[in-house]
Amino acid sequence: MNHLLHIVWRSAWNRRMTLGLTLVAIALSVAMLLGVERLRNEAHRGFSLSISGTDLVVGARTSPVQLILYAVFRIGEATSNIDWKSFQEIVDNPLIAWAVPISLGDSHHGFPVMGTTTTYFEHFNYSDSRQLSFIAGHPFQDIFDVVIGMDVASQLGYAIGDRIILSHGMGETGLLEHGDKPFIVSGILAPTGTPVDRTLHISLEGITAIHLDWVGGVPMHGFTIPGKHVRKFDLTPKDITAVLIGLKTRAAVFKVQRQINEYKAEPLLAVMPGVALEQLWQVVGVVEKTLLAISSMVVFIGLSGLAAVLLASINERRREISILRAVGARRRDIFLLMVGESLLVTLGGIMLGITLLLAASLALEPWVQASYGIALQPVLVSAAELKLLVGVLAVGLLAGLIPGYRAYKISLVDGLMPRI
Amino acid sequence: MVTALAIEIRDLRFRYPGAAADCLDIGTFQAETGARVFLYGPSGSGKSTLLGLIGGVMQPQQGTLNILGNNLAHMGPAVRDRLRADHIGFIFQQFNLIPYLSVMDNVLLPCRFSPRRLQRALASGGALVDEARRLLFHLQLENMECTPVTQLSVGQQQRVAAARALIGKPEIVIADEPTSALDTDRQAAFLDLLLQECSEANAALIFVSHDRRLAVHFDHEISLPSINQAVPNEATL
Repeated sequence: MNHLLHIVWRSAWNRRMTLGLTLVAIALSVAMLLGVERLRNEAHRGFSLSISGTDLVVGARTSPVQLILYAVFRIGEATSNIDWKSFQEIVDNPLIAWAVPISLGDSHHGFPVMGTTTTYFEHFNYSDSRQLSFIAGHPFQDIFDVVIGMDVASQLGYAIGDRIILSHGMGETGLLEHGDKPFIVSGILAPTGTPVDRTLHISLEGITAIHLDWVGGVPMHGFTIPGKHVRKFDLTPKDITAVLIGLKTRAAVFKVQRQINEYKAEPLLAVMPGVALEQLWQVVGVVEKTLLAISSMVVFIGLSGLAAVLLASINERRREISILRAVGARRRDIFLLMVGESLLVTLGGIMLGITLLLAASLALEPWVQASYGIALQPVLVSAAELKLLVGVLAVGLLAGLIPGYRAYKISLVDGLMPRI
Repeated sequence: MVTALAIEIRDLRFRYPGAAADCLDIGTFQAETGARVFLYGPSGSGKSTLLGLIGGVMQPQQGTLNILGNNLAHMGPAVRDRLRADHIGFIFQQFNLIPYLSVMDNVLLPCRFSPRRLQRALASGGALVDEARRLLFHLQLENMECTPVTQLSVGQQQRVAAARALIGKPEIVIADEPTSALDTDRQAAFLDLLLQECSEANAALIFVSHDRRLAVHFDHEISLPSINQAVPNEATL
């Protein structure tokens, strides 16, 4: 078998330009296939790890997926809010152990700002019931204290004591600023690999304070309330965006959910995060499958190109094949040479594809993380990806079967007696 | 398997598929082990077809074609492949070598595909590459074993092809106009070396050429038209 491998290698090297281009095409298609799969898995992993220990997420009535997207993942915006009185009535429920109100809508250089209470740092868990922790500073104590996630700190270069101006609304440009009421960084959270890393946390009173002199989403004309005077006002929020709820017992989850969903004063929606995530996967599943199908087709096209190149080469290699047959190679050997060449190029394409993907992951990881909140792990190949690669190799094998059979059928006469 | 006759043909008839007439109709043809046979004839007389039949490339429709006592007429393609790999060395007119392999790799090819020839090469040379080097030395190609064959002259390429045909001591060497691409001086030198190596290996050499001046070097000189009762034409070959 070694001699066949040697011949396969030498033959392929002899046609390195043609096969090299084919190999690059396969490599790019493999990188695309693995890239889609990796993004899909990382998105799933990131979403699944983003919340833990929260039994219900409550918001104004909307779709469960939309609620979980804006309340947990800071994607999209709430269409309506929860009245503060409703929140107070809900948390009076004796079955509820804790409730964390959150208020969204402002941002800072594209990072979302979330108003909440210090109970958030005590009760919000991520991954497998891991609590938030501080690598520097402490939770907000003053109205204008802000606790920032690790990505905010590292990407914007903030440290404890730095001043931050918040913007009204979500986005990176064209936003009005709350420039007259700067916040001071009081704490930096340890990295979690969740949207928390990209969030600036301030108190609900802080949220109210910066909007005291705003009406309808714009500053009041000719009227401002300086930051030093806001403490004279009642800073109790009028409404909030959502509530994270922990129950005393998991068994009560359906009962509490029903109570909230049937709340009379305003239409509310309580969802279990796991159920909402499952619905989310169903929604994005179609897109994922489509993407996977497209990238699989690209791989198939790349390998079809390989089959075409090998088939085209057979005519010019008739003499070579016949000489090999004449010196003792059996038909089976010729077949194996062709299939071996196909496997060699496919394997080379896979290895180059993995290398390209690894390089792209390392280079684009900060951008993907910042833009989409997806943390790309710089792993070589995961177990799931390995299955895909075995599939690619199998298709590469199939691509070699056609030219292999064609070469197998070339009789000795074809090459040695060209008159026939 | 052991027989005094390397090749024996009796009442052989061969016709190409779709052809109107036979290409070969040979009553008797024999070549003993170690014989040196010069086969000649004009273009279209069926020389290459006869070599193809002896080499097991094709199969006759009728008659007996014994190679070392094995009737090729009754063998399947796989068995003929094995017989050819184990017992027959080929030298072609041109484009003899695998271009992407070195001189040494080309010479060793038959031993890679035939365990029998590998065994014989090991028996005579100790190590396989030593036997290849011995042949290359005899054929005046020493120190060229790593050279890409594309860098060799035509004469050198033919000698590499001869070394490849002879390694593992096949009982039959078939040479299809191997000197036609060589000038007169190189023809003689190549022929001397080939005959010497075949003699040492006691191989039957079937040498086909247009050039009858070369016949003096051989034990037997056979005109194919004289033994072929078919009247082939260009279209049937």
